[in-house]
Amino acid sequence: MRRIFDEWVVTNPFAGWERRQKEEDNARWEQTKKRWKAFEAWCGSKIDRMTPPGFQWMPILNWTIAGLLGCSVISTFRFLARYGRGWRSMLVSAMGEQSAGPYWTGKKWEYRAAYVYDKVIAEGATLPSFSGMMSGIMNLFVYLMIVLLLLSALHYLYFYHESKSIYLMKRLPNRMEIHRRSLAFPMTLIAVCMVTVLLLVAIYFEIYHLLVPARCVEPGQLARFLREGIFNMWRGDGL
Amino acid sequence: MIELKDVCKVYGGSYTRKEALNKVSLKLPQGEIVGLFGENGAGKTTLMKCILGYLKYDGEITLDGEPITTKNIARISFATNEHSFFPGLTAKGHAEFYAEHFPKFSEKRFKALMDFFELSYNAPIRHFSTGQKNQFEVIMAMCQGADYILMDEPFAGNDVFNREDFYKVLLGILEPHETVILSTHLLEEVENFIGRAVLLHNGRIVGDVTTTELEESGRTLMDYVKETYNYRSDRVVKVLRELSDTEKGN
Repeated sequence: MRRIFDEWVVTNPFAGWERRQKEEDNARWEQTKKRWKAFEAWCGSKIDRMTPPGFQWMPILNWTIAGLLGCSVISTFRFLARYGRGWRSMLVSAMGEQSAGPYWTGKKWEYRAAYVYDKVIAEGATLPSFSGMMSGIMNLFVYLMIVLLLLSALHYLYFYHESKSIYLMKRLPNRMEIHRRSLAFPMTLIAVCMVTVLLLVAIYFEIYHLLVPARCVEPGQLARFLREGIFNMWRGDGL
Repeated sequence: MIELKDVCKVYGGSYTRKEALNKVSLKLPQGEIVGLFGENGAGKTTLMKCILGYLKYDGEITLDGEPITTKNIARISFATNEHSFFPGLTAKGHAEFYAEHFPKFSEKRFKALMDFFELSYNAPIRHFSTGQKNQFEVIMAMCQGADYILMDEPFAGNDVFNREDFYKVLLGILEPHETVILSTHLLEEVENFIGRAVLLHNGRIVGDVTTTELEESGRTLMDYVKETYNYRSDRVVKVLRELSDTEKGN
């Protein structure tokens, strides 16, 4: 009986299929993990060279990512709220279809005529300008970038903390090393912030145009934004 | 050769003016072990910091006739009791950092010394004991591949056995072209280790003698220091006698 079973296992092409599949999945997962770890190590070594030697940059990176996400979510909510207000400002009530039906007066049912009111875009109404809508939207990113600038000061102070490693930095043949180690990481994070802001602006601009009829948008929005809005979006009165 | 010509360094403003170095002229040829002695505030640390360019000074300091700049600074290393390592970095990380910045960094010497002092390669230096931190500081200065190794009281906090070990290892591994300039208060301990003694007092060089000269004159380093500083040993006896007389009078 045993022999027959073994033969069946060998000859059946589907035998152990599930196990093989599992093994293949595991191998693939292990390989992915390995690749991810190698990538992490590569990124780590790059960041190590951008920060003071021995500096624990991981918490800073995590907080910055959290800050970026937080700022992005808040600015998106702000934009959507303003966009919604802008939309509502264009609408007017228009009398729609007339109908009739039973109406409860509080005491008895009466048969009355009723009208359905529709919200429609008013004739000649336009959406507030994109530039105005963006005013102060990105101010939280400014605070984040200020914190990151302070981080570079923290990096300089690190060379005086617990020891005087500043002595070693000052006698390196490469005098710029101390500045590279202090500024590179915060500046990279600030650059990431700027790229995030740019991406968000692009997305908001698309949203601005996407959901309204073209006649409701005054022409030259991008030019106006580049002229005024690009400066105003950092202002502190965004709330 | 490191040469100092009329080096002056003044700390403080017009009201708190203190002359840390006053027209110091000194020649430190290659291959010597020089002891730099003096009371606290004599100017030993200031002298070293001026050589390394950490402090601004008047006068001239040259290394083989050239001013000390980024071009030749790698030829000088520094071990200080203030510690110049990165506390969060491991010994292995330090070796990598030094190898990257100092082309003559000696990996072989680093391993030998780390193993000799049984220091951990993978622990951040902040987890070392004070003695181990001092050892590590000196190890890095020794392994940089510098021709001139400046040491500013590097053994402060180390026990006597530890220091003894270090002197022996230093003597054993130093190459003929390597110069050590060692600032310390431990006169008697380093007497047999150094070849020349330079004495500083109130920012001036008040004594400069080789140990051979001392041997020939039959004096010890301590005798020479006492002579130079005009140390009056009878002062203590006098004070004690005065005190005991006062007590008897009472």
